[in-house]
Amino acid sequence: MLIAMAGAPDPALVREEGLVADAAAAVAMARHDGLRASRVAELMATYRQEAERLASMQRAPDTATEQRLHDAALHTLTDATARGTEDTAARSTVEAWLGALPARLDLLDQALAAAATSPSELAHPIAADVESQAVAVIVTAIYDATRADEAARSARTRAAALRAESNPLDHASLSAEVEMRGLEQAANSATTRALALRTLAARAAALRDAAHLLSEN
Amino acid sequence: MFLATLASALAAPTVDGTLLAGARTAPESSVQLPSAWEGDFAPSALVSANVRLRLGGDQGAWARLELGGWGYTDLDASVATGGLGLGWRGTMGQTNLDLAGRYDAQVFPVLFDASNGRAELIGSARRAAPTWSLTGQATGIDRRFVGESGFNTGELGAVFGWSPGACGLDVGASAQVNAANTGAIGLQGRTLLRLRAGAGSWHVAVEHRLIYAADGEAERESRAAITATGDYSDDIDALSGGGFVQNRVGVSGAFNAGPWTLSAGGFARFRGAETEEEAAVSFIRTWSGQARVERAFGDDLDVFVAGGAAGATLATGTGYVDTFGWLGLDVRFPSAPPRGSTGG
Repeated sequence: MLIAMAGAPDPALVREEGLVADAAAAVAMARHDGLRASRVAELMATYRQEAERLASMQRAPDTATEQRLHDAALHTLTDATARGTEDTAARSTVEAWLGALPARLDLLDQALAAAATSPSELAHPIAADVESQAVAVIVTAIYDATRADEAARSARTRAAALRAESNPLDHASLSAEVEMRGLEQAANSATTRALALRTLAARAAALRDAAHLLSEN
Repeated sequence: MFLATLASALAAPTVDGTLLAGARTAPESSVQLPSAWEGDFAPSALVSANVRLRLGGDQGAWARLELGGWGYTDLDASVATGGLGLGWRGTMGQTNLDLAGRYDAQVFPVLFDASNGRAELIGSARRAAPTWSLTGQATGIDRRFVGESGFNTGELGAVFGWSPGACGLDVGASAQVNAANTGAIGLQGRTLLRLRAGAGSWHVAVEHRLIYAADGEAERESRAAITATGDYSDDIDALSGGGFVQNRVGVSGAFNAGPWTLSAGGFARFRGAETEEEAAVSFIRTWSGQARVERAFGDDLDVFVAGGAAGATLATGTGYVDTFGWLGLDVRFPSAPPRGSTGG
């Protein structure tokens, strides 16, 4: 069942998860934009602070095993986003849970629309669950976008290294031109993908906020 | 299907241009024959403009049309250039295929005899897995100078790449046959060994290439044997010239931090000629080293500073060093795909 009817997420916990995800995304963006190390460290400290607060709020002992796995995977992805690292195992766990992110977001949209017309005793837990899963979508989309940015950066840096092999007054060989073209295309594709994922994350954030309003009213 | 891919390629044109201004200490080294070297190349200021129209995306047909020129205060080395590239990228099963052709023309208005046209064709097939790749490639080159000389080459080779993690290794071998305009046929065996390492923000590669050349004949005063800075560097290796053994070592790297990218590279060739005749007209050492710092301003403008030096020495001891440096910018129209969510 998509929306759990029992054991709805703690709203405060979900909000904190969102704050941690935002803090991790801010670190990733600062690193991507080449901001000063002191600024990255400052944002990293904010992220750690939020992550520690979240850890102190989590209720691990009585949470279902599957939910614990999901929470752990999301925590790992958030941390990987902040650190600029990759974790394929955590990403696979989330993939098995959420499936394709756009489809999951569409489903959450529909669920929230249904909740809005439901009695409050039904609407509140549904909205809380939508909010929780929207945060999961945000975390995952930002992680994927950060990895795509990194792939684009890697391709562009490799192309720059390839260009540096020859004297700038020379024409590069055709095979080098084809290879550079492939790298530039790969970088552009990755960047386009990163932008699409950030748009998806923004849509998920709007849904999270709407769900939060509904769960509080 | 071809028409469909061509139509989609034509629907997404991009234009980019490069403008630069700077100076070189020996621009005439690009157009003088070794026998004419007097060791007193004059320094010159330079400006250059290049504009490129590109069509095509990640897969399918692509095309590139390029027009440009280099203007020097020492007019002899000034050159107008034009080029057309056409290609196709596709897949067959798990194999990536590339077919590409290019024709480039260089017109030297003052030293017209140095003007030339060059055609190059390649076909490559690449099979890749997460930790390895195997690429087979065929290359053909035809180069003709105005009323003077020219050559053809054909090369068939393969490169095996192994990338277990952040580091990688490429090992390759190829066979090349070359024909000078005199009719002399030469043969070459070539090897490649490359070590590379990289992550998102940096890449470094170190490589060694060996050429064992046999047969052919010394192409005295052949431009094909002296293509130097300002031309197709690898054409120096095109002809077997009666035979030689050449070692080429190179290093290159790039580092990115936000909008800044630093790249640098260089190579050196060491050639041992097998015949005295060949030695007299052949480079025994050629080298080049260069560095570039660029800063992206948004997604469509890069400003860069580049500098370096290149040189060559004949067996007779005659040689030159050409240092260069310039300030330039790269512009893209219309807006290229953003390089990051916040741009530069």
